[in-house]
Amino acid sequence: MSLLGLPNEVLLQIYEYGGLEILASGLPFTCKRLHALSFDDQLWQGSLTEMFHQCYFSAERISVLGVIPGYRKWFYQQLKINARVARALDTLVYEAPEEAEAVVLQVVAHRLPALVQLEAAIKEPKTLAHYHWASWLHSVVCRLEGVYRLLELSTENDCGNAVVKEPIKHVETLLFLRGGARPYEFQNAMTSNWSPVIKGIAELPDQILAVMSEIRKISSTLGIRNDYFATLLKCTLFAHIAYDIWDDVDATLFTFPGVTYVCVRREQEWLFVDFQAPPQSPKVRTLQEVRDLMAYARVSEQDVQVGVSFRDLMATTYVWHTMPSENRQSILDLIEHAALDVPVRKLQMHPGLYEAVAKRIILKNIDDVHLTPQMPASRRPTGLVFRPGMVCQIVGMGSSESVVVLESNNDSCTVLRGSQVRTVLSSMLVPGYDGKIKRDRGLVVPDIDADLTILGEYFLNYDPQHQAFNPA
Amino acid sequence: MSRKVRLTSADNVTYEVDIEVAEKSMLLKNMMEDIGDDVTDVPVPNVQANVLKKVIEYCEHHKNDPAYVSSDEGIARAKATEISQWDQKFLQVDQEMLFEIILTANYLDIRPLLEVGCRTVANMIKNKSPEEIRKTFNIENDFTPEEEAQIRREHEWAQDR
Repeated sequence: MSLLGLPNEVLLQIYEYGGLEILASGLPFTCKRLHALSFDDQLWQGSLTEMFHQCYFSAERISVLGVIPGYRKWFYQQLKINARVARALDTLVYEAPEEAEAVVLQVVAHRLPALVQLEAAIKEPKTLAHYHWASWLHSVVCRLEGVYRLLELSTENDCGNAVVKEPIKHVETLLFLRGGARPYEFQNAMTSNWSPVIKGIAELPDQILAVMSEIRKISSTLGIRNDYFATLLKCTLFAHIAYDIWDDVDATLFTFPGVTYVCVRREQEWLFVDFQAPPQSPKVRTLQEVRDLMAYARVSEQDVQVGVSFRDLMATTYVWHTMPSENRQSILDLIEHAALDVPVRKLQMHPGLYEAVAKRIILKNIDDVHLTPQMPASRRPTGLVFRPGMVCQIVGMGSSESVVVLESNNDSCTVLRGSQVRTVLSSMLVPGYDGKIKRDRGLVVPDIDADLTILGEYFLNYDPQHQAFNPA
Repeated sequence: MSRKVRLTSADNVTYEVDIEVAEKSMLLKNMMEDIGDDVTDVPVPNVQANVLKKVIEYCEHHKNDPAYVSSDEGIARAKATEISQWDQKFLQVDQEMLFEIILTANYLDIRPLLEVGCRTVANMIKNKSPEEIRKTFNIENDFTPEEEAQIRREHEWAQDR
């Protein structure tokens, strides 16, 4: 019995368990049979996607470049990185992964149009290189978080608008219209209904690009992540474009703390697009779904805003409320100066919508579970962060060490504490979820009402003298 | 006291094992379920005694392990975990026995053993050139010089390390 005495199904498993390390190295070049097996579609897809999701999208994502020397070299070749840059990048990969990632993204941003053309030229997956290429492109495109990231990178390198717009077009098209090629991401048939809008985003006028450039300057000045502003602006633009494309559309923004929907009515149907989800997988929800989610999240009537401007929109977010007041004023001044406060056109909100959504929302007061005696007034629930599929009740806002978040995902929930919380919040409120969150799964309960019970127990341990919680 | 079953190898050697041990093999488990509770003799016609003995040793050691998680989730988990020390030592056998164990694990549908076997082989292949792999596993290079040159050109990036 020898290695080649094993059936193909077992040899494929050996490839699979070895991953790219053996798939891209010596084994396929030893004999015809192993070479032929190495072309297995599932094998490549599985190996690449898993690796990317485990490495590239994780805290150590850049380490993927260090794992497989041959793979890294191929990547450099595809991007036409010269030897000097490659050497520098190699050093960075090992010594400073974050900087290395930035360099890779910069390079990719410059090379993307050419790479997209190349990808389009490969119609059939006939060659081994195709799998590498398609997967790299897929990953790179997903990693680039849309218009703002490309703009940021391109502006840093003094690229003109023409250069900037080209990748925008390609990236947006790839991100939104090629849903079938993204096995790990959210798929929603309704997304295809928005194709005209996505194409519209790709044809943003120069003035919008100028505005986004200005935003970048603001965020850089104040040390705030650019994508925070860009996402807000993108929501606004989305509403503009939707209105331009469809005559029968009422488009507006619909927000409550922690979540912003672009809300569009078309042919008697209201749709809500959540842009705080990862940009490559926009969530589209129906009115009923939003209504259910808001009820589930216990959003109060006064928390809902409709048809807000860019400036107002900022004020609904966590980042805004946590930044020093002088920075807030600086931003407002800059917005004023740069005429960035783009109002949403057609703010007419169907009167029935607001009523239907907002009026029925009942904030299930935490008193319902008899927590008041143990909870100081200053520790009442003061915020609520929401993301599709996840509800967080922030209780007892004070120092970061005294915040409790109940994260609920379908039928389970978790209590997060202390320093974890800021990371969690920033990931929820700012797109580009970095996957670095480490959740404490110590407390899992079966339903949302049980959260409140746990919360009650938690607050029983509140120590008013030391202004701290003593977790059980 | 646990119920016993007798497994008989291709060369007519019989091993008596607890039913929990035999049921680590999904093939045997399903077979015994189909036949009925009173089955006590199970032939394993495709497996030689020395290999069956090794496989039983593995199943004995792992008989109290939690149920195997199948499909992609299982593979992802398997990749993420190291091979246990006991398994490593268990698989420190000559190549022929290693491949026989893998083949038997595949035939008897003992997924954890198949996994650990495949991962062991994968580890033996990592960081080796094609020539080193051929030598290690006694693989004949059946490429023509032209084919080899063509493949080298196509995959230059992967070979040039």
